[in-house]
Amino acid sequence: MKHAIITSFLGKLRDRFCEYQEPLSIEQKLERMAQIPGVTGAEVVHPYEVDTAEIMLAHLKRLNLQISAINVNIKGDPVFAYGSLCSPDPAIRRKAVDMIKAAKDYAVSVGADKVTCCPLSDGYDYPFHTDYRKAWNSMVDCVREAADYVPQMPLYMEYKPSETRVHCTLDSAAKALLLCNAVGRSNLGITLDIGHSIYGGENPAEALSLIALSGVPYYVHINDNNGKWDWDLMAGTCNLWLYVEFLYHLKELGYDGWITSDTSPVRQDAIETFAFNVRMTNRIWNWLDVVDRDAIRHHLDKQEFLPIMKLMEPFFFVSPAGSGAGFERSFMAQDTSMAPLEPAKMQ
Amino acid sequence: MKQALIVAFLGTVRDRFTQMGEPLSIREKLQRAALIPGVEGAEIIFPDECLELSEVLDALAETGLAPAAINVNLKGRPEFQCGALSVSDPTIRRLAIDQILRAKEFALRAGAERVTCAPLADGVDYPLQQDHSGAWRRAVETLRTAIEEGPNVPLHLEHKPSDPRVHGLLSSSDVVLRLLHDIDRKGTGITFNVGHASLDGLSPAASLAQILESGIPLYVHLCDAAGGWDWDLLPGSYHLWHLIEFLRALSAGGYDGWLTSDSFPLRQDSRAFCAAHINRTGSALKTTEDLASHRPGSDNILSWKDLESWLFPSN
Repeated sequence: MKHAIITSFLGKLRDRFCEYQEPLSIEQKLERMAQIPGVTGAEVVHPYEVDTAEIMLAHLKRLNLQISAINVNIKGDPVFAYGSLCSPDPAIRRKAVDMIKAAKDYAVSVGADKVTCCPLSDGYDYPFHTDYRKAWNSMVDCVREAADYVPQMPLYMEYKPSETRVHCTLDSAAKALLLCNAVGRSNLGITLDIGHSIYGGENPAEALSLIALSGVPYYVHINDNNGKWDWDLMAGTCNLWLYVEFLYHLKELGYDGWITSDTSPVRQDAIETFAFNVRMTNRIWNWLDVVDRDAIRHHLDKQEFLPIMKLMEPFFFVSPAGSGAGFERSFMAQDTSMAPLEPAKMQ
Repeated sequence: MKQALIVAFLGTVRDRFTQMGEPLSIREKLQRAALIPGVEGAEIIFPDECLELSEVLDALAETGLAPAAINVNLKGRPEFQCGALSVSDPTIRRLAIDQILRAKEFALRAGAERVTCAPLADGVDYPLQQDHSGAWRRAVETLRTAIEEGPNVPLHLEHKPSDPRVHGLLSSSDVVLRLLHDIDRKGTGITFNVGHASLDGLSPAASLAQILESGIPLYVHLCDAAGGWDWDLLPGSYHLWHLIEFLRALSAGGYDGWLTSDSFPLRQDSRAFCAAHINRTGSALKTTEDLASHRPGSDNILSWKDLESWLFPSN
């Protein structure tokens, strides 16, 4: 399993009311990333968090890191406040497409294998705010043009129900697949953010399966939330069962790509936050290698979920009789290949 | 009822990714607010917009706006990122008390009837993060001290389910009522935010009923929400029936205080947006007055017929 982090979460963060953590250069962010056990990849935000390709490659080589994806930001510029790919203004759409093209060029120059794009300013806030059909067709045309540029560099589109718009245009896995169908290019993929899926009312494992069935390439962002908002919490801290199920299906699908943390350490130590994501994910992933997956498949075929729960319970909980005797709690137990757990530096 | 604006929204506003609007002084914000027909009052953020008392007093006198409330900010300072009223560190709680006391002093000198406070940094993000009983007791003690000390200016507490914490301590108006019960002091009140009240799918009028029954002094923030998040939208833009129901209940309850706009003009011209809020609220108030014949009742179809004829008078 390869772990990566979106670099922007390692520096200054903010919400509507507050600012958190210290501003860092991209080099400082990568240096922090290299301190986190198990992390070998960086998703880098273009054009706001990059050095020249030459300098970036030197950083990566020195720190023994790779690029998991180039994340093109088409929401931060104030010109995109009312939309980017769906904007009724052709000049704004042109700017957005050109930014994706530039990100593709940069991806080629640093040896990345994909560009990912989450068009968060495309959507609407009020009823009667947008012409939905025109907006959709604009997105289709823009994404097609962007896909056709440097076609060997795949473009992955990320969906999200809301934020910065009350309703985002690309709001679900099904909508993202409709976009892929409408664009009709084989170099399009989907970035599945498990938190976006959860607070959008999807079951992430089901959304993943839908994407996989379609044959569209996918890439994964991990975090968690309470089902109401994209809080970007640490993976599995709200919806542990959903996370285990998601990783089970990812493993069954033979996914060998990056697991990228899209987690926001606003009030806690960033390094400990991402180290937690790596540890939790690896524990579940490794346990899924030793659990009787044939038994799980068997019960899934029969739609018997209780036997699967029974199979998994000992890995979460000690025996009701006490000390855990008779149970091999290999999921929660210490992974001897990892450094001992230290208390998180929570404030 | 009189309408007011949280004038901070006339300046720079932002979300996690975007920042819009020009930075304005408090004088400029009040001047712009006063140009909007129907605006009689202003809610001003302390200390952010209250750096110079004389500037605020002069601008209020110049514009003729009344200070509807001084809104004490207990979330913006870095010290308050993990909470203000309920944190275990007594020095941070004392900072919060002192900030409230200074806001009360400012309100007294500015002639504001109340200080309002939404303690949004108090709450939790993760399970197993908080001693919830301890946090509650600390919030009670901190607020009791802030109410007892300093000038006799009522302190109103505002509820909100979340933001910037995943779970806010004062998550609902019912929780605020319970808190005020535990504080057990005069000189308190509740700031009821219609948008926050509708976030969990509740009827704001139903929540209002508890407040009216309690007799706790009331102050109102008006906006709308959608998709389970506090988007601070124009009132009634998603929950039109709830707005009508709320304004009728408010009027029937004898409320004649401020209706303060908490609508957030991100992506809109702030003056046009605020004017739209004031105009829509005024129209909604006027038309709910015309609903005198409305017959509320959960199983009364005539109730809906009344509302239909109000909403579509011409067909």
